[in-house]
Amino acid sequence: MSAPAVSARGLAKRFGPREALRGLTFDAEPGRCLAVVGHNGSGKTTLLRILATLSRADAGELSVAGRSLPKESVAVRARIGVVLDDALLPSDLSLAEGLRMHADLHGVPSPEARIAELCERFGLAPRQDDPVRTFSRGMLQRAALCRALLHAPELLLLDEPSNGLDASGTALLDAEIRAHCARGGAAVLVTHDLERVAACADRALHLRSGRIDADGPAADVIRALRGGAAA
Amino acid sequence: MTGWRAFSTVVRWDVAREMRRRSTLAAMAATALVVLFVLSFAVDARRADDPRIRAGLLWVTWILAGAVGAERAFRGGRDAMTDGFLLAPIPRASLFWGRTVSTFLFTTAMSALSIPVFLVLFDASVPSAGLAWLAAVSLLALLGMSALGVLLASMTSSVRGGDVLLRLLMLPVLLPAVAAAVTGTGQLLGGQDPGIRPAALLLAFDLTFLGAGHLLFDHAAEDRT
Ligand SMILES: Nc1ncnc2c1ncn2[C@@H]1O[C@H](COP(=O)(O)OP(=O)(O)O)[C@@H](O)[C@H]1O
Ligand SMILES: [Mg+2]
Repeated sequence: MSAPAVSARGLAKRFGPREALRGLTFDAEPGRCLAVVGHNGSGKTTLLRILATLSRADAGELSVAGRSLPKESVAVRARIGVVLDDALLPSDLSLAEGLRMHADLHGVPSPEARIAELCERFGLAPRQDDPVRTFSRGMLQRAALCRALLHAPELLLLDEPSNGLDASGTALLDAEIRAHCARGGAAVLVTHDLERVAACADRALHLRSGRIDADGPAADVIRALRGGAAA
Repeated sequence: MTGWRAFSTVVRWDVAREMRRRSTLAAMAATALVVLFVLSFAVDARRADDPRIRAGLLWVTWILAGAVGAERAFRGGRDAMTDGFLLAPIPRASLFWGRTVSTFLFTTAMSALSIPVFLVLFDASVPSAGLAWLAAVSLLALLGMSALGVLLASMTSSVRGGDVLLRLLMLPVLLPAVAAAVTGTGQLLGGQDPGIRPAALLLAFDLTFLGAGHLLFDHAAEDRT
């Protein structure tokens, strides 16, 4: 039995007087996709940024990709692929150059071939030499996925990755997440899109005001949420 | 990745990006030129021939332009560059050193550009024996300003009005070192030998800021939203 991809015990985070996370305890397993759902402001992005080492919890214990945070954050960053609402690619460089920058920072072996492969897979090959600032919202989201997958991370941390994607982009995203988990990787998928949860996730956490309101098989959590919305 | 490779990767890509858009250099050069021109109208240097005033004008220009450069080097939390680099599996200290050195390169280019303009506008000249002194003192000052600027910018970028705060914080911290540099530069422009003291003081400041950035950057760069 391998170590959990994420192990959180009593994670808490406050911004001034506002408690964004109030003691979250959960695990994410290798080979599985864990969805995190909840209303705007329920703490999903805050949680993802802590898992991604961009922010630090005020209390609780956390290990990500088998390394404890915040102590081993460099090792964690080598093992995670992160999608945030910004594509994190320099807007004045071409997509290929921006990906090359990230490949260099991650020490990716044979980066040119890897970049070509990913651009091809996400339908960006014809535009890979154009400046990123000329990309549409959906293309940026595809580019962000390429960037997150560049160094073949163990754990994907995705914040609303389907934002701006069209139907074919969404299908690519679903397929990518499932293939990643089938290879033994893990994913944490933050989304308000219950379709994505149904298509990709094995388990789901429902956050409400920084607390875990429900944690169970994805299908059950979705049913409860849809029922709750109807009631 | 070793610290050294991480550092050189950061510098290389910072420079590559700047060469593409040239916005930091342009912003600094524009600031420096505007300040110099305005000062040249305000102060008739041909009559105000106190070399200390001229030295002060030159350093005011560099500090203002340097603050613009440092602020742009590490801007707002949602800045693509910043978060992109923060997600790289490199020690935060390597990021601090890399960004400090690239900022230093840009501020050095800016000051090299502004020296001839200054000399022409204020009808000043540097005795050739003093060139090495001026180069050493200005490089030391720019290095310290870059280190301090990158560190402060990473701390203040999440705060509303962070750029204003940056300048407010930067100036008093820099003051003692700059005072020495200005006095020395004034002596130099007046044909005297300024001696080693200003350079030694600046070196001490550089070591302090570089050490502080090395140690504090991990915390400073976190939780910028
Ligand atoms: N940098 C910040 N400063 C102050 N409050 C914040 C900050 N980031 C998030 N919050 C607050 O924390 C709560 C959770 O936000 P967030 O995690 O972004 O929610 P979600 O992603 O689920 O919509 C919200 O109340 C939000 O206002
Ligand atoms: Mg969010």
